[in-house]
Amino acid sequence: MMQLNTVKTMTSAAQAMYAMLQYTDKKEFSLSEIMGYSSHAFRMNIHPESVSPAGPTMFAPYELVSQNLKTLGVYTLTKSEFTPLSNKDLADTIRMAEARIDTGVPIISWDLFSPEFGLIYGYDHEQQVFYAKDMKKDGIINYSELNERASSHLFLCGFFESVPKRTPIMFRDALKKIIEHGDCKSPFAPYEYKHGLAGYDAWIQAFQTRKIDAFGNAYNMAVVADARKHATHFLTILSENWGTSTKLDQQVIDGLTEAKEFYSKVASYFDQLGKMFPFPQGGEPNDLAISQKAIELLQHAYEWERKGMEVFRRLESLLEHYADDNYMTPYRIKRTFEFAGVKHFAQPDQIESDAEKQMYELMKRDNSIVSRINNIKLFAYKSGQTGDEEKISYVVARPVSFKPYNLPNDMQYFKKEHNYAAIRVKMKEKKQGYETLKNWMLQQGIEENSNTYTIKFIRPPQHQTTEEDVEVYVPINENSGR
Amino acid sequence: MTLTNEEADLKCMGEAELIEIARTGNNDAFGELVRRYRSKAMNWAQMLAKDNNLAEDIVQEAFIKAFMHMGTLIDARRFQAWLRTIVRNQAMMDLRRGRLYKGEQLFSHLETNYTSNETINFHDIDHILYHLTQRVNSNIHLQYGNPERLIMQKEMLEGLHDLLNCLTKQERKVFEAYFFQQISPKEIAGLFGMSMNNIYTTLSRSRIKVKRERARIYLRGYLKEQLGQDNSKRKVLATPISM
Repeated sequence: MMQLNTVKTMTSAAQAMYAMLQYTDKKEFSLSEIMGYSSHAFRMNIHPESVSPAGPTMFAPYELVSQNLKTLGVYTLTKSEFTPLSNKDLADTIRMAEARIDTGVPIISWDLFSPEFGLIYGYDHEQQVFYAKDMKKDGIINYSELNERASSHLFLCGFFESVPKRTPIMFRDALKKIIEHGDCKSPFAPYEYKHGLAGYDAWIQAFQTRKIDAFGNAYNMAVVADARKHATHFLTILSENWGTSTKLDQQVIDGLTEAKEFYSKVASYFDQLGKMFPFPQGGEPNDLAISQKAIELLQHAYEWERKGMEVFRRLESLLEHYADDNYMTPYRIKRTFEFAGVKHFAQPDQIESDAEKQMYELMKRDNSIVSRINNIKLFAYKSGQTGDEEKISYVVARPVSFKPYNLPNDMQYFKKEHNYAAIRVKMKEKKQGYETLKNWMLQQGIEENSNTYTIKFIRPPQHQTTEEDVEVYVPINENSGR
Repeated sequence: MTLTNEEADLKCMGEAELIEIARTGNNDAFGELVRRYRSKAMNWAQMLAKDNNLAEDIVQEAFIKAFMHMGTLIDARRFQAWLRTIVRNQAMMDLRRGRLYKGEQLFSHLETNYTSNETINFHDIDHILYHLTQRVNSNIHLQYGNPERLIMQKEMLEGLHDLLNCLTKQERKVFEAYFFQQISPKEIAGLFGMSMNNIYTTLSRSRIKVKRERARIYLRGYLKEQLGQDNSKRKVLATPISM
């Protein structure tokens, strides 16, 4: 049995996620489960000539970290910008970081002390420093150094909320990402590199051309070998713990057992390859005899991984039959919304199209909202009477991290703390969601409070084939309902 | 970050030498290699967690507005066919739920090598238009976004390119003036997530240091003021587990 390190992985994105989750209600997940659910256990990204060491992280950090955390039910607020930022932007970023750390959970960041993912776990406004830790070092970063990033890019992924998610739903969402990657369709992928199953072709091509960067090759071998070990362990954990109540469950378990076997074979081939090209020294990948042996082993590994992907496609279809409690299920919650935007009025029959148009206009100029959270849209609605007409007043806004300063004259800041009846749906099921929520409120005897805003919160899709998530919050009278 | 002498030396080193040092286990050499490969290959603008396509939409709108404006100033008859296509495409793109665009296929044979673009001149209209076209081609290639919408965008940009080529020198000046009234070069650069520092300058290391030091001193005072009454706030969580 190959040795597996249960607390350390070579994939820094997953290591950072694992370290961050220790501060949340999801600290019970093992590293292998995080590697699996976040899709990192199943990834590969290979340059077809050099097999560059930049391969594993050559994607948008938003995609590698923020989007994969959603699979685990962890929502984040992400800032991803080029440096240098203006002084105003920098101050804004520091306040955003402050608000995120105040939740009690560190921020995942990139290129703190080396081009890997790490954590920012403290701030000190008087000294003007952050406390940060990555694979290289645990130390201090001056606020001014945020603008002097070696890679000219600042990435901060801060904790927003954690939502409970059942295993079949997490696994289903993970598979979507895993299959997307396997099919070489991960977004924000660099043009020359090949990822997923296509990575094998690229690797073999590199061994045929024999102009390999020995260091990069050894690094990729080590990362993939480590990843596939975690993959095997993840699938083992799933298959051993999957509840067997129904025929569907049994089909899933059969699939998991099959996949586990396949990935265990992949892992053993990469174990051999790792010994041929030890990290960091690298061995001799451009030697003719050695490269031919490597090609042979890669071809075997490819066959098993291809079989594994087929099982995953089958499993994805099976998993669609499990009910997703996170959607179309009403619940009560007390929440505070902070947002900034522009107020408008519309007739009830025109509100949909008007609001969309106004949101678009807002997005063009929302740079002026300091502390705004990009890519989440917020609508707030309140119906009222003006004279004889029924008109709806609405706000198109961005959620904000803290109270913005210097808002343009037509924009306002809102802070609403309230009890809400809430529901989460996919964009195309919006109408059905409203109805389900209203019916549930009726059944429960919950009264709507129509003196304040109904909030609609829109998140971007987790991957390309799905739609935006819409969360609707209807304000209610606290003492109503059972 | 403040570079040590060793780190500064690594930055000047050739790739082969860097690889050799990395093979001995030197983490800094590893880091420098990764950064170099990354800056060569990444389509930077796509790395941001921003709203998809918004940047392209805004810049495209500025082009269209400028052409509409031209249409009121000059005899637009020679542009009519193109203008009609552009107006039609713009209206169709406004439709949230697009119908299937008949008879078109994805431009999958267009293999555009869209690499890091540190040499865009944001004062040059042709350059901006070219850059927009590259982005759309890249999105089509990666199949990122609504396919019908992408094709309409591509057609629109081709139409704009043709129109630009038909303008006389004088007309072009008017066009450019109006275009940049809608949106400044700096704003465009910002939308595409790029800095305006396109020109490679060889400042001596000591001059860079002095420049940085001055910026830091100013920043310290500025931040203290911005943080207001929270300017001595502090919170440090428990040290994270081993990374």
